[in-house]
Order: sequence, then C-alpha cells, then structure tokens
Amino acid sequence: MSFRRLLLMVGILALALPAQAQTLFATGDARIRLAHLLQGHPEGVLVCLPSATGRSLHGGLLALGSQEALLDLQLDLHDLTLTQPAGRELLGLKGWSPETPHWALLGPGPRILAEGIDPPTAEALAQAHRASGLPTRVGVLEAFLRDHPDHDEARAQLVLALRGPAELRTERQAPPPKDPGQPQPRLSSEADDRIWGAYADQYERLMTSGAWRRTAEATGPLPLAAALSDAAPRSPRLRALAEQLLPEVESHLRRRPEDPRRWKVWLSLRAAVPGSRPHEVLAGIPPLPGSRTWPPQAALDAYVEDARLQNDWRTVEPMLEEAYRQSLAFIQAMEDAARRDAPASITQVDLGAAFGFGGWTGELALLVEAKLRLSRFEEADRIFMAAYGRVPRSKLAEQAAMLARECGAEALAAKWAALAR
Amino acid sequence: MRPIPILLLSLAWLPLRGQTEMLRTHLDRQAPVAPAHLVLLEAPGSKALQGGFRTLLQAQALRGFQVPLEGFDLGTALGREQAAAHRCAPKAQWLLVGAGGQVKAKGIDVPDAESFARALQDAGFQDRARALEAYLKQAPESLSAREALIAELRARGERTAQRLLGITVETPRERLGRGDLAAWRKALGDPATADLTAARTLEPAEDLDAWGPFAQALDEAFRLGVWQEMTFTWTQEGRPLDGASPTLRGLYTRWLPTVEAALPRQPESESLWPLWRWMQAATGGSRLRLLMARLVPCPTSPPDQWPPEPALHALRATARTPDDWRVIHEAYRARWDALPVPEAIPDQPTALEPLWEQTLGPLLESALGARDLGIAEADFQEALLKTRWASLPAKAAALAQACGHPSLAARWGLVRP
Repeated sequence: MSFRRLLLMVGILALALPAQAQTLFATGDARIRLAHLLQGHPEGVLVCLPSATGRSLHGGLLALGSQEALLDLQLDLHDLTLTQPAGRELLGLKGWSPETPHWALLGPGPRILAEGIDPPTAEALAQAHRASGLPTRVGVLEAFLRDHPDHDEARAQLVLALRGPAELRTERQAPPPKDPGQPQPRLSSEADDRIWGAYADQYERLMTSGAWRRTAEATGPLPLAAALSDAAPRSPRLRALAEQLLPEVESHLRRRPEDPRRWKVWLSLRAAVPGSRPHEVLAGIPPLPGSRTWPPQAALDAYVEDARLQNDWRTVEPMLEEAYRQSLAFIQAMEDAARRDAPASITQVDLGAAFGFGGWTGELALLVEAKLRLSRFEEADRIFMAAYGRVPRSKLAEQAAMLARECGAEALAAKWAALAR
Repeated sequence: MRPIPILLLSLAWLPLRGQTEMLRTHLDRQAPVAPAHLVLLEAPGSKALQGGFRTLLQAQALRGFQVPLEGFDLGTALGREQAAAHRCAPKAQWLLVGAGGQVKAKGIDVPDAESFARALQDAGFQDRARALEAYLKQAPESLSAREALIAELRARGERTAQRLLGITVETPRERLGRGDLAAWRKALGDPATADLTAARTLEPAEDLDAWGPFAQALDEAFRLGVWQEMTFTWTQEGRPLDGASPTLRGLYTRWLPTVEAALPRQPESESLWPLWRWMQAATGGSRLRLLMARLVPCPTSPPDQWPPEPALHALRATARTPDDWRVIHEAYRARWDALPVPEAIPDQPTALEPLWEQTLGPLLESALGARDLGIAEADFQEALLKTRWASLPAKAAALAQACGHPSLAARWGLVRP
C-alpha cells in the first residue's frame, strides 16, 4: 500500500473516531511540516508546544475537546516538540519564546489565528475559532453539498462528521446502563431531535440514494458512513430509521451475502431494532458453486454477534469449526510450501508464530468460546491443548484461561492458567 | 537437522527472492475450493509432466476446469515423501488426489483431453461457469453469482487470448510470486498497461472464442445497472490483453460514458477509477481532460490524493503536447509538495524507489515533457537537497536521456548529493 493511500485511510478513520480532541502525535517523524497537519482540515487544527523545561499545555487542551462548546468543531490537536521541524517551524512563525509553553489555532498558510500561553476555556476557543473566519468541518461539507448534491463521498464525510459529536452528547444525556442486561435508556424527543436530527437526515439520504451499495471499497468514507451509529438504540429517531431501512438492506444483503460491508450495515441496523437472525436472512439461498464455506465467511461476525445476543451458539458452532479447520489446513499448506522453498539440505521447518499462527487468533478464540458456552468442555480443552502444543506460549494460556473464567468453566480456567506460569 | 528460522524468513518474504511457494500459497488462500488436485511426480530434474499438463489443460474440453497442480521432483526428499504418502512407487507419474487424500485417477503418460475431462468430473470437478449460469437462471438477482461468473469468464478469456496471441502477460500477483518486486510495483501502479505492441489483433472467430462469453456477461451487468455493486478484481489483478480484442474495445467504448457518469458522485473511488482506466487503456480514448473538468474532490480530502493515480497514469499515457504535460506537472507538483519527503537511508539504496516511481520520476518527466527545462532543473535540485539520495542523479540522468535531453542528462549524471 502506498504511503499516500495509508495517509488517506488514517485520515478517513480518524473521522470515525469519537469527537473528542484527538491528539495526533508527530513525535519522531522528522518529515512532517505544519502544512501537512492542515491537509484535509479546512476547519484548522490546534497545536501546542511545550516550554524548553518541558511544561506542556497538552493535557489541558485535550480535556477541552470534549466540552460542549467545542464538540461541533472537532479540532485535531497536535502535540509538537522542539526536536521536530514542525515544532521549530511553529516557534518561528511568531517568534515565540521557548521559555513558556504555547498553543495555537492554525489555519491555511500556515497562519496562527489564535494563540496563548495558558489553556483557553472551551468557550473562548470556540469564540476564537468563530472570529478567525475558519469554517467548521460540517459547514464546509454542507456548503459543498448545496452545490454538489449528488456527491456521495462528501455526503458520507458529512455523515461521519455529524456522528461523532452526536454520540458524545448521547453518552452524556443517556449513558448506557452499567449492567449490559438492562435495557438502553432513551433520549427525550426534544433531545433526540436536537442531537440526532441532522445526522438522521443525512444518513437517510445516503442510504436511500443507494450510495452505500455502489462502492467496492472496504474502507473509506462510504462504507464507514453506511454503518448506523452504535448509539442508535438510545435514539427513537434512529430506531425508526433503522426499522424503515432494514427490509431493503436485508434484500440487498441476500443478493450479495459474501460482502462483509453489507453485513456490517445490517448488523448496525439490527443493533437498533429487532429483526431477522442471520440464518433467517440467508434462508433459501443456496451456496455458490465452488464456495469454500457456507454460510460465507463474511457472515461469521454476524452469526457470532447474534450468538452472543441470543446466548445461543448452536448455529454458529459448525461455522467456527469449519473456519478453524480451514485455518489449520492453511498452516499445513504454508509448512509444505516452506519446505519447498527451503534449501534441499533442510527437511524440517517451523513456522512458529508467523502469520499469527499460535496466537489467540479470532478463529481459535471464537471456537473455544463456542464450545465453552455450549458446555462442551472436553472439546474445548482438546482444541486449546492442540493449539498450545503447536506454540506453547504463556500469553495464549493466559488469554484462554481468562475466557474460560468468563464462561464459568473454572476447572478449565485453572488448568490453562497453570500452563501460563 | 535444525529447522530453518521460518519465522524470520516469513516475516521477511517480501524483500527476499526465491521464497515464492510460501508467497503463492498465501496469495491463493481465497481461491475457490477444488475437489481434487494433480500431484505430478517427476523424474529427477524433469518437468515433463508439468509442461504436458499445462498444455493439456488449455484444451477446449478442459477449459472449464480449474485444476490445482503441484510438481514434485523424485530426486528430492519431498518428492519421495509425496510418493510414499500416496502409496505409489517412486517413479514418474501423475495422480489426481481428492480432498480426503484418496487417489481418484493416475497414469504415467499425460492423458488425452476427453478422458481427463471424464476423470475430473468423476472426481467432483464441475465447469464452474456453467454451474454459475445455471445458478443465475434460478436466482437472477444474485450479484454474487453474476460477479463470480464474470470473474470466471474473465480468467478463461485471459488464458485463451494468451494462447491464441502466443504471448504471456503476467498479473501483478505472478510478478510478486516470482519475487520480482520492481515489476510488481510497476504493475500495481498501473495494472491496465501492458506492452502489447508485439501482439496482433484477434481475428473475429478467435475473439469470439476468447472473449465472447465474458463480454456478454459484463455487458449484461451494465445493462441491468448492477455493475457498480460488484468488485472487478481483474481491473487491478488481471492480464491487460483487452486492447487486442475488437469485441472488448467495442464493449468498453459503449459503456465508458456510463462509468464516467458515475465518477462525479465518487471522484476519489478506488474501484471506479481502476475500471475506468482499464476500459480507457484498451480503447485508447482520451477524454480525460473533459472528464477531469467535471470532477470535484471532497473539500475535506487531502489534496495530494487528487487527481487519483489511475487518472494520472491515463494523463501520462495520452499526453501529446507540452500543455498536456504542464497539467500533469501541476498535479505531481501538488503531490510532491504535500508529501513528507523521506531522506535516503545510506545502507538501503532502494528505499526511495517507490517515491521515484510514484511521484518524483513523473514530476521530472512531466517538466521535461513540457519542455520547461528550468523547472525540471529546479525540481531536480530541490529533490536532491531534500532526499540526499545517492541514486537520484543517475535515475534523473537516464530519464532526461530518454526524454531527449542529452545535455541535461550529462549534467545531472555528474552531480553528487
């Protein structure tokens, strides 16, 4: 993957994170200049520089980002140092003294649009941003979409930009219960409209336009935005939207059940409203000729999540067995290939933990969990001990013991924990 | 005998040549499952059976079957182990081995196509395209089946076209599989280009034979309006043989406007552009400047991603005038300015090769193509100062020579970072 594609992916993923001030550490990266930090951020960025004695404003600034006055700005925060070119460039922009720490609101140029030597209040920083003439991220995207209403990528970016602050506000107004078995609280109608109204409108447009289907990318704004916020169960408006969209999403999922992105969208809607179970969605669909597995691997996450919600692992157990069998077959194939690659004088090879083999990988951990949840303790022990025999690592034994404890299999937990010592 | 440290080798397999079997196995992990595979036990030092079966599997009667094939030299311990594992004498022979390890068929000589086709069917092989067509008749709404059928017919078309044209065009994956990283990176950068200057155009009957079914399936996907919901991996991993097919050129000419109409909605799409570039490379169309004028990237996207790589490759492939090259230079200049430029690492002279291939080389090339030698010189000096890359003067000199500027080439060749 090229560095530029990686930058783009990191940039897009960063949009999907909760809208607290994000600290992007440029420490140690001697290539980054201030202009690079501003790429893709018309709303500007926050930067801070410690004093020569190491006193930093970073902690105070980080705490600001989650305050109400700044939630909609979603400014990235960069903690620079004087050992970096970007840090020295910043110091030189206004001739700052290195004796005190500094913060600055940076805009295109780069230009310093607001600054200080003490952390501002959230309200003061919001006011400074308004006075700077910089747009908000949401504002830029809304204005763009007025001129380009069919621009799917921009709409997806807008959905993501609206989601973060709404999720944080929902956490405050309707925090999830400590006991996951308790029902999720609901926002009042007024709060729901205020917090989720804009997001719901844009999400609905994205989904009803079909844009969410017309992409082959695994990452990027479209597939990320197509997944409904996981705060949806607490929003009556989003629950109603999920209920409205679910039948069509299921219909499109049935047309392409090998597509993990369609399953992700379906799962996100199903988390908000009751609906079909995965095997019901796939009922009547025969496997494609030549398929390795059925149901398809892409559905596995959905089946596992369903198993956890329903506390019923019977349907998913054979899928997990097959996934694990294929994983072991792959290891064997890689060992055979390694022997063919090795010099003629070498007859034994040891893959060790290469490619994640011997680790507490998804297939192994899920299969053992399924066996434990179904009280098939002997089978769980046999599978784990075979994996441990291949690569006898303490970490593997520790993680397996923790799982066994969670599943109430104390005897197995003790046995596996002993292997870790 | 001590086991070799495969951990280190496996983690380092990319830079090392010769670690091709592990790489191929890793890359083939998601291939459709086959009910059996061919084990070829070869006489010491021979590859006669492998050659014979590769030819056999191209026969019309066998084109619908994808049979995995592995050759083992009986002069090696591994080869003798294979013979023992299948309970056969260690002599040259072929074995059709089922998924459970049982030998379904065997022989000493390469069989004829019809009898081998029967053996394959008895072993559980099916003509996957026919099976998918039957599936689609029952479930015409299935995008998975339609996509798999197009991919299957594409693979067959490529095999047949190569045979008819008498040429071999590698996929990026094959280049990686034989350890040629430079060729792999080049193919990855622009999978749609291939040097087909030596290839002729397929005759009508040949064209129909090679590409008829694929063209029909792809055409239907466009007519039904479902093409954009599919993944066409061959636009990034296939063999770009399409330029030799009048059928495919006609198909792409018909549907290129449809793909171009989709781009304004997703101008940074990493799947639309490769499809566009694949179709554009085969047809040689150059409406790119008009198309680019209609496209607007998202204002919150990093500027160095615009224009997308496939568009840049197309611009370079179709540039004719100095003005064309100036547009390209502007795009690469924006990328160069937006990129945090790494400094060369003294003991890793090839570390900046990707930078040269993707950005710096095209930057200089476009300045030279625009005949702006002063700009080319300034770009070169700036790059040298920033990267301190010892290989840069030689590479830049070779480029200048290739672009018809020998005196510039001579000057750059003498520069030391």
